[in-house]
Amino acid sequence: MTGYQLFSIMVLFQLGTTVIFGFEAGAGRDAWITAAGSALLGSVLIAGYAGITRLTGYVSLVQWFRRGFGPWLGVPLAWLYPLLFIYDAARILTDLEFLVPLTLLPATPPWFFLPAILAVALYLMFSGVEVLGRIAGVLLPLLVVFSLLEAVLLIASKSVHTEYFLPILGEGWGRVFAGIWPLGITQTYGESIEMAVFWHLLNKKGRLPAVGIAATLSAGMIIVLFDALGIAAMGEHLFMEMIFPTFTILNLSSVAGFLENLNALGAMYFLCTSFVKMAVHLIAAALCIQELTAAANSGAAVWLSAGSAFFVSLTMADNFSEHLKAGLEQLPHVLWVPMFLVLPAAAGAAVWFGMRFRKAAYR
Amino acid sequence: MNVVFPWESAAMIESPWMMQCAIVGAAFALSILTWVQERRRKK
Repeated sequence: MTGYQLFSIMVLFQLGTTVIFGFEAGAGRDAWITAAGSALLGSVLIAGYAGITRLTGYVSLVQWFRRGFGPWLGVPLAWLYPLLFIYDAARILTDLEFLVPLTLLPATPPWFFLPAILAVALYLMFSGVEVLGRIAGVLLPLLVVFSLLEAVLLIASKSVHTEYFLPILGEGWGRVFAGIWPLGITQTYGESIEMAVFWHLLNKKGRLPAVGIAATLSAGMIIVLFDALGIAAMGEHLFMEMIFPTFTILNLSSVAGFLENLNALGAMYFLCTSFVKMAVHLIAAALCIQELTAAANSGAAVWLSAGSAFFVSLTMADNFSEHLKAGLEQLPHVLWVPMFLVLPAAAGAAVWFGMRFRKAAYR
Repeated sequence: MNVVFPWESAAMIESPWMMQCAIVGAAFALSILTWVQERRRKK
């Protein structure tokens, strides 16, 4: 995999469904500061993951825990990750279950479009990570162009009101920090631990930290742009109330009575980013399962991951507000902080101390 | 009988420990598969 392909996968993965829901909308007109702070801390986190990968000799995520804690503790800890990746993929499918009827296909039942999306993901999973890299490499420039076009059209249609940002930090730093920890760091950036499953496939491994940090900062800038557009176009209160602020502002652009209602544009980029994120979750889960079961190929693991994610998504939530509440308030504390921050840090420390002791023993 | 899955959003909100227990339990159960296969390969 080339550096550009990994960069594209990481940017699209980090954008995921995050941009659609208005990243850190709870921080109101200061959401863009929360998004920028989360991106900066997220890049430190990615540098940490890259450091652990380098320390362990560019092995996959599964091997971090085996190297750090040995087979008896390392194997159960490693198994936690494919299970979490399947759950995260199911969360994206549930996002789409509510999002697609509200925005694109109001009368189409989820049992029809979810398997259709999953079928495309299955095709991609069987094709492999390299194909995912090539697809992401094509989609990313299109997405960047459309994002910039959206910004230009909103400005041209005089929908952007910079006074909506004022007063900056008028409510203090409290809600900015509340947004950064734990949700801002773990969602999107913590989830990027999945990239550690693919990192050993990179052609020039020395470029890993640079590619990872560049991708994180780029995704962060796009998230800040979408947050800023949402705030400037709708104002603080509407931005906080709207479920899909990014999608809503597309209705506001109107240039010369000709370029209006760009919902198709929004639908295209939310489907692209959420599809890539879901596919990465499932491919990462399948590769981890393949490695942990020492299977000759990933076929069974692919079917198992996709089938489990589909079942979990169908039984996950009865209503959208409950689904959002579980994801925004509980999930970061219950699973993401322990698995994206505590366990990798412990594994990295265990590997580092192990190497120090071995060196001391040789002396 | 009303089955409540630990990954359901309502269960995640009310009893998040259920999800933690489920994921840790499943990881330990699946680890047996890895340990058995490693033992077989060594033989």
